[in-house]
Parts: sequence; structure tokens; C-alpha cells
Amino acid sequence: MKDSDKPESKLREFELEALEYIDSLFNVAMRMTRNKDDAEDLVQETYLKMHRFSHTFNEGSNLKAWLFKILRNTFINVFRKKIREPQEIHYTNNEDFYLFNRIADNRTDDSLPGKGTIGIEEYLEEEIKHALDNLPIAFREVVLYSDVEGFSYEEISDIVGCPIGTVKSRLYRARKTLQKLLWDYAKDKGYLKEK
Amino acid sequence: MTCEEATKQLYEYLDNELEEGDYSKIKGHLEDCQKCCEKFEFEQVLKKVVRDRAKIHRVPQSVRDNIVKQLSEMHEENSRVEIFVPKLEERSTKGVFQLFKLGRAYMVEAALILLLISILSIYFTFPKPGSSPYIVKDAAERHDNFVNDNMRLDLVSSDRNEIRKHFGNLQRDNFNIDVPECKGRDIKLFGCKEFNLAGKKSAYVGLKGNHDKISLEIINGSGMNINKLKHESFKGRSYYFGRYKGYNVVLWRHGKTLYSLTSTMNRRSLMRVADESIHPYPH
Repeated sequence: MKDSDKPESKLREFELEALEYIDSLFNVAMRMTRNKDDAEDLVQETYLKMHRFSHTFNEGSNLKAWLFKILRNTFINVFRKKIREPQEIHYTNNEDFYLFNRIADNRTDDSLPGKGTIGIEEYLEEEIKHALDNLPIAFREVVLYSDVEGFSYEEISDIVGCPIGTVKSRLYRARKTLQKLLWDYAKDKGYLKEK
Repeated sequence: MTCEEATKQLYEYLDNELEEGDYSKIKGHLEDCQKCCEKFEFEQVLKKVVRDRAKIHRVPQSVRDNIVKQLSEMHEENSRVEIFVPKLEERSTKGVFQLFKLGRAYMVEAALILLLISILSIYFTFPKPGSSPYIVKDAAERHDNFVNDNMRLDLVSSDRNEIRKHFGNLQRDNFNIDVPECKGRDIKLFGCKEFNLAGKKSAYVGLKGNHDKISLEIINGSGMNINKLKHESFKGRSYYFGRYKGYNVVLWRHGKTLYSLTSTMNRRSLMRVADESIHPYPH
């Protein structure tokens, strides 16, 4: 096929750049929809919407955040009505370093929780995904944007349309909840026993 | 700095959100305090583990190719008209024309332009194989007008009986449109209008979902061939579908009546709407 016949040649430069984020978008879509087919659909819709609204995008501004905003809005429109603020879940207390403390308490010797055979590296793909999938969606999305995609608080606040203070507090509660879930799985799997 | 003060800014530290001053204060504390250092390191490793375990999927190549294809097709459609104009200008100054004397050259040019125009009009009248059939384009354009409030409805109402009466009063042959219930799952009737869809009389009904507007068109006794469209089965019914201007159009038959549903919603959601709200069969 001649270069000028390749479909890519018809795309604009920023669209080609946008395509570089396809796997990032897909990974987040997978955790939001928890279903491969829906995730693929969601990613396709996102790129089509990107094309339709490309006239609203200022070239040179944050393309990645803009794409994720489109992904998020498409997700809300198609799959859910709203992403609601989760109510206080009864087991999120204000304990810092929850998982660290539990693992440390569990150790029979004096070795540190971060090192040694049963540390967090033990958490296989399945447990992490399972824990993420069981977070309320409002928590799940901020963890995805921050931990998985590396967005700044300001970018996250732009994507979700909330003030930075809200983003911070949501992230804090989200990570607490995630640690609680990971600890529960560690117990279930018999990695560790509560003393 | 105390351990408590450092812990207060744990996540801002790990997320690199601190100003230089605060950042170095905490770093200083971590160098001095073994306990905090272990805990902070643990949280950092946990963050990394979450990222590494969640960021493993790659989108299938077919999906990526499909997206590229659709985007390039959209570009092609946008530029189709523009392509021919430069060619017109090119032709008039080069090649064969230079052999003719000035007067004759103009006449030949004019004749060729006329020829080109007639070819163009034929080109645009008959769809190329593989492009969206008329019905998909028509339905999508109509929906686009509805979405952008460019459509003057005959009647604005959320009452099914009022809408039925409106169509009934139009008294044309074969226009006994049975307006479906259109209820359930946040779909509401919005209004209606009599129309033509791809050359046949149609009943247009605008619907509003929770976030989307949806257009429903009903054509009685349409022999229109939609079999060339791609189709798939959903809950025992065959749906034909197409896409135009970023809208999904889903079509199906019920007896002699043809229905079309258009929206920005994805195909699966539209089929669900058709199945649950427009045309629930007893399954």
C-alpha cells in the first residue's frame, strides 16, 4: 500500500498523538466497565467523540487529560447515570498506614513488612484488579487517574470536574479503602493470618 | 518536623504535589526517622504495585485499526467535495488546452466544466458501494437537527395518546402508525413530526433519555432493502446498523413496518432501548 493510501495518513497530527494513549485509555476503560467488550466500545466511542469535538480542543493544551475527560463522560452517558460520592463506609477509619500496620503485626519475626517473602509484591494481578473493581466507582476512578495514569491533582480535578480539595480527600479515602480490601484478600487467600 | 506532621502530607509527598520547601522538610524527616521511612517506602511500593498490576492490557490491534479506519473515513467524507474543485482549475490551464486558440479554448473549457458538473451530480446521486446507505444518512441528519434544536416539531408532547392522535389525523393511506409505548429506563416521549425518510412517508418521534436525545422513525410498508447493512442479533431480533456523523443508527422490522433509532449512544445501548422500551416482545 502506498504511504498516501494508508488510513493513518488521513489523520491530523494531534489525532495520531491521541492514538498513542489508546492503551492507557483501554486499561482505565477495563477497570471502569469491568468487561472487555464494553471497554473496547468505550475506547472507540472516545476516539469518535474526539473527532467530533476536535474543533473545541486547543492544540498544545493537555491532550491526555482531554481524552480522559471524554472517556469519562462517555462512560457516564452510556454505562451509568452518575458517579456518586460514596458514603462513609463503616470500616474506613482514620488509621494511617493501615496495610503496613496489619502486615507488621502479623509478622512473627522482626523483619520489615516491605521486605521478605510476604510483602506487597505478593499481590498478584488478580488481587489488585479485584480490589480496584470493588472500590466504589468514584474512588476507583481517582486511584486509576493518580496511581495508574500519573495525573496530577490539578489534572484529575479537571477530568472529574471537582475542586482539588475534593480530589485530595477522595484519593485519601480511596487508598484507605483499597488497603482494607487488599488486607481482606490477603486473609482470605491465607497469605496472612490475623492474630 | 514530627512524625505526625510528616504523615499528614504522606500522599501529597508521594504524589509529588508538594512545594519544594515542604518536600525537603519531609525528606529531611525521613532521613532522620527510621519508622517513618519504612512506612513511607511501603506506601510508595504499594502505589507502584497497583500501577504495574493494573496497567497490563493492550488494546487488540483490530480495535485500533478499526478506529483509524473510521477516523480516516470521516476525514474523507469531509474533504470529498473539496477534491474536485482544484482539479477543475488544473484542467483549464494545462495540457491539451494549450493547443487550442484562445476563443476555442474557452468554449472547450466551458463544455468540459459542464460535463464535469453533470458527472458530479450523477456521482452524488448514486451512493458508492460501501458508503452509508441513504436511510442511515437521512436518519442521522434528522437526528442531528433534533439534537441541535434545528427541528420544528409538529407537536411537543410526552403523551403517547396525543401523539397517536396527531398521526391519525393526518389521514394518509397506510399511515396507521402505532406509536410504541416508549417507556421504561428513563426514556420519555418528547414530540413528533411527519416526515419523509429516504423517499417514504415516516412518523418521526423525538425521545429524551437521561443524557441523550434519541430519534425514532417509523415507516409503514417500506419495501426498502436494508439487508445490505451490517446486522447483528440481540435478544432474538435482527438489528441492522450503520453510523454517520458520529451517530449510531439501528434499524429493525416488525411485520411490514420499519423502525429506526438514532442516537450518540452506542449500538448495544440502542438495541437495549429498542428491546426494552420501544418493542418489547414477550420473550
